[in-house]
Amino acid sequence: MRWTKKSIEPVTIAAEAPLRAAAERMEDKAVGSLVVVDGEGRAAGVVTDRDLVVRALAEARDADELRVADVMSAPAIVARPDEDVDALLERMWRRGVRRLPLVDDDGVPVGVVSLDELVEHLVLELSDLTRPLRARQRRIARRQELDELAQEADQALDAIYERMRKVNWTAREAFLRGIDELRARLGRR
Amino acid sequence: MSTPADPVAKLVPARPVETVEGTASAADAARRMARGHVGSLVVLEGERPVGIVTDRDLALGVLAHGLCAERVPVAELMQSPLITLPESASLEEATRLLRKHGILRLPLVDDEGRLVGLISADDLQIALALRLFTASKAIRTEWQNEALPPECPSCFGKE
Repeated sequence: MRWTKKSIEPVTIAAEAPLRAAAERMEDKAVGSLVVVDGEGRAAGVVTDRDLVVRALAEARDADELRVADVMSAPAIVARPDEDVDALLERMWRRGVRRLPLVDDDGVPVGVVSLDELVEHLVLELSDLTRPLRARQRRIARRQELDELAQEADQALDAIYERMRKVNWTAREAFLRGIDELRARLGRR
Repeated sequence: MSTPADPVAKLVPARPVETVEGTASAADAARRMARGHVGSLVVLEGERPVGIVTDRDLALGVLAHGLCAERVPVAELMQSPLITLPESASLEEATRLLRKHGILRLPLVDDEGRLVGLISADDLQIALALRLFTASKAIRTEWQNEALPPECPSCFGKE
């Protein structure tokens, strides 16, 4: 299953940028991770809000003196835009990452795909699969209802026939009583 | 409301909830998150859980504004009031609460409001996915059981 969904624009940051710039960009774009690019615009690593906490704040390193390159995870674990869902999932699993920057032949980021997006896609597929099942169940339920109605009609007609044999009705009387009986039975449902 | 057969507490591996005092500094909180390998801490005021602070709250609250991590108290960065879930609640209730508040984690509390655990959207996702996996095994087993031996007397192996 090729991952052909249009992926979102990657938010990038230069490896040489100060840490504060990375935090500001995360806040500005409301994301928790940035693709770090080198001087040539190629993906060099990934930096997440967790990296900022664990590798800078927790280490009591002076944030003003640090650059993104000092705390990022490198090299970047990436994927090609034409890889299929299985390959993407496998890589996320094996490498323990939730996001994969998608890069072109030059290693320049052109998109990013997240585990959450893939899961959402799989869930929608499953939901689509259950649709024919639900439609079939509705048809079966309707068929059962019709069967029950037919049974009621059968019993009503049997009752009329029995009485016809015992009582001397004309055909017209029998017909009218038959309709009354049917109506009564169906009305009772 | 009776306790559901699969209370949400059963779906989470038992793990101690990492907490931090509201008066502690962002730097303390960061160290605690690093040591505990967690992405969030429940913030306490004495014994009472009053909020939650995540790695994102720390990174953005401190670094994006050029503040000093040693001087910013956690209470200024935390999310509050704290949204909690009774440990006996069901998976459906947990999902509903996460959705309603747009959050990814729920501290679990007992009858007395004491912190007993923490469940995340990831935990729920794993639980549901495992159920789907069991369903797929059920389908496979059904296929296997249907394969009649060639000597079957009803159809002489023709079906």
